[in-house]
Amino acid sequence: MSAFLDGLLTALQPGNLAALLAGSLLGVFAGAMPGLSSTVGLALVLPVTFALDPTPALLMMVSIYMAAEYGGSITAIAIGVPGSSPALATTFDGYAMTRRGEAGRALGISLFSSMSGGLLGTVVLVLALGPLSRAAIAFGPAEYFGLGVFGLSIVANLVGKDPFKGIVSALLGLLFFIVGLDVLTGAPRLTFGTNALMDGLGLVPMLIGFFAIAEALGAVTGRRRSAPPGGGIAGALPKARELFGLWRTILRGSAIGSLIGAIPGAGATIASIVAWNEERRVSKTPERFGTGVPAGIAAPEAANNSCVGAAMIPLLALGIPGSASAAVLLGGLTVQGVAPGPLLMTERSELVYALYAGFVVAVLLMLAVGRLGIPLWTRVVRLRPSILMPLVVAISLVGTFSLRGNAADAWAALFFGLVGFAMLRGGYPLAPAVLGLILGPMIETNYRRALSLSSGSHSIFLESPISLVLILLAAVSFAAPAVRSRLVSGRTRAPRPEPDTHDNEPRREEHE
Amino acid sequence: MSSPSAGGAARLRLLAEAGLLAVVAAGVLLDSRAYPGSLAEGAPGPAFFPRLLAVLLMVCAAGLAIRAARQPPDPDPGRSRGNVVGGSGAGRGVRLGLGAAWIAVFLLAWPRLGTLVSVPLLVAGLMWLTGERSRLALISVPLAFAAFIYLVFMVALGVPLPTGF
Repeated sequence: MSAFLDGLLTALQPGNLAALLAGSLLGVFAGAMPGLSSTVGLALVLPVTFALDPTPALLMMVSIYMAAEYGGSITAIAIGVPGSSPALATTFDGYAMTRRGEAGRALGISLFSSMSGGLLGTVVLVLALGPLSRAAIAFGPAEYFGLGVFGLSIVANLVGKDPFKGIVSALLGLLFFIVGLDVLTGAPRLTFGTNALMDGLGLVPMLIGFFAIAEALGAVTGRRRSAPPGGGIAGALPKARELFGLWRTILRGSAIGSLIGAIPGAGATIASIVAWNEERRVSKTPERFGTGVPAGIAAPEAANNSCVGAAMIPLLALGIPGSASAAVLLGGLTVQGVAPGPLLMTERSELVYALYAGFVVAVLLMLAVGRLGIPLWTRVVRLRPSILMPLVVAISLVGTFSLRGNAADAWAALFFGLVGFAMLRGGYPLAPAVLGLILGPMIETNYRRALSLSSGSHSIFLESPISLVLILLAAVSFAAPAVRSRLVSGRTRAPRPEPDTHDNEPRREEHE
Repeated sequence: MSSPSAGGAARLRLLAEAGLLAVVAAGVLLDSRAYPGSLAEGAPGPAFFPRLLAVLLMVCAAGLAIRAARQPPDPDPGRSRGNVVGGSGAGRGVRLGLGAAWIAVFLLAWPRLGTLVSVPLLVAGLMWLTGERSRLALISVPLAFAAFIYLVFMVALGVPLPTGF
């Protein structure tokens, strides 16, 4: 405890506090800008940290990482465009609340859940650094395949009114990930001899295309989103009672985020989608998810922020980055002469405790920065669509280009915008396609790796208890909506939930 | 009020979707013929997953075609998606084409004209296409936005956006 207090005193020194505050501001901005993300924010600030001492450099980076996870929810809620991929699940209920004129309430719930998730993830980091890092390295190809299949089973809850078209959408998403070089053999697939396609179709251009450009094209064709109803900004914020009433949801989301975040390569996007799905599964009114329920925001936001602390577990304990952002952090640590691994705790304990305390301070600063920003964001959503949508497209394209300095990404965003527009017009939900693109690499690569280890025997997936449990959970998750629907409605077919607000008919009518 | 022609339009749309899926699946199958074999004995090669997806897409295409064959007449043709009413559908198609083309022109011109020139033009064009007619807004918003992009992305964050010429 005294070591933690020493760490807290270090984190609160003026220079370190300034680094944490700068990180919070930049992190919220990077997270909120479609195309940017915590990874890009960290990469942008990396050269700045070279001039700093190790402690403020590390604190600034963890502050960016933490704040960006919240920042992604801002645009997801305000304009229906996830600022970064971990905020995808927040879009389902967050934007639906905004359309009801409850942007302030949704942003408040997101901020409180992000803060709680961030704090709980830090507690997990402090308490479970040893055991969880050992569990994380128990994940081999069979276990990752199980995790991927479990993640894909969530499609069953994202298919919208027409399950058949939802499945087609998921298959198209899986197909999009095929484009590019095969990870295991380096063979070009579906590149048609074009160098620009060798790197594949990225997730960010798909998110930008589906959620920003397709929407803008809808506005251009006259299917405009109506500005959300007005209302007092302060009055629209959630009450403390409502926030604390979400404690079970936040605990569940944080637990899921901590578990998945500690697995290298799994990531906050999968964690937040799994958390949203699990919350829907345990809910007494699952059919309301996707129509703007607070728990649909709290679960994914708690999960993606708790991932931040959890992703540090394999990084600090084993030197294995748990996410792309953690990989950039690893680069920053290396430049500072800090070598993560089993000896870090003994050789640089003062830095590790400053990091723990820095997480706590970063979460509190994120709360302050986020709270001050809510009035601004609730004004943004009330801009005229003829002004808002062009600005969203322009900043999305600039952000997409900034990701890798590659114009091909911006072209891919336009391609996905047209595909997304056509899919929406045909009644195909977009969320399953996004999930397919996210999980496709994990499923295919690890399936093939596992079978090469077992010389083609599928028993490898059943011999691993983790893989077996995940595959069984996936089967349950696939079947659950249909079973639940039959149980609830009897002979009358229950309406399918429509989590992706970009694909529902009422809104289409509203545009008309 | 039902209309056989409306039901026919929906059927045609479903058939078009089925045809498109079948073409995509066939393209994937054809492309996968050139993929190399597996690196390890017993493990699937790079062609396995694309072919599996192609077969599933073919099944879905067949499902859509069956659905098209069973398509009942549309109960409310005026609200049918894709059902063009009067000239407004054509107008929407033109606006969609103009919007997509304007973004494509921006992406082509961006490296040559630079961010500070091309971004305001993109914003102003999309604002006009989206129905904005206030001259003040059409001038001030794009310019203010370009200043924001320049100051935040290029100056503060040092993002190497195209500068043109």
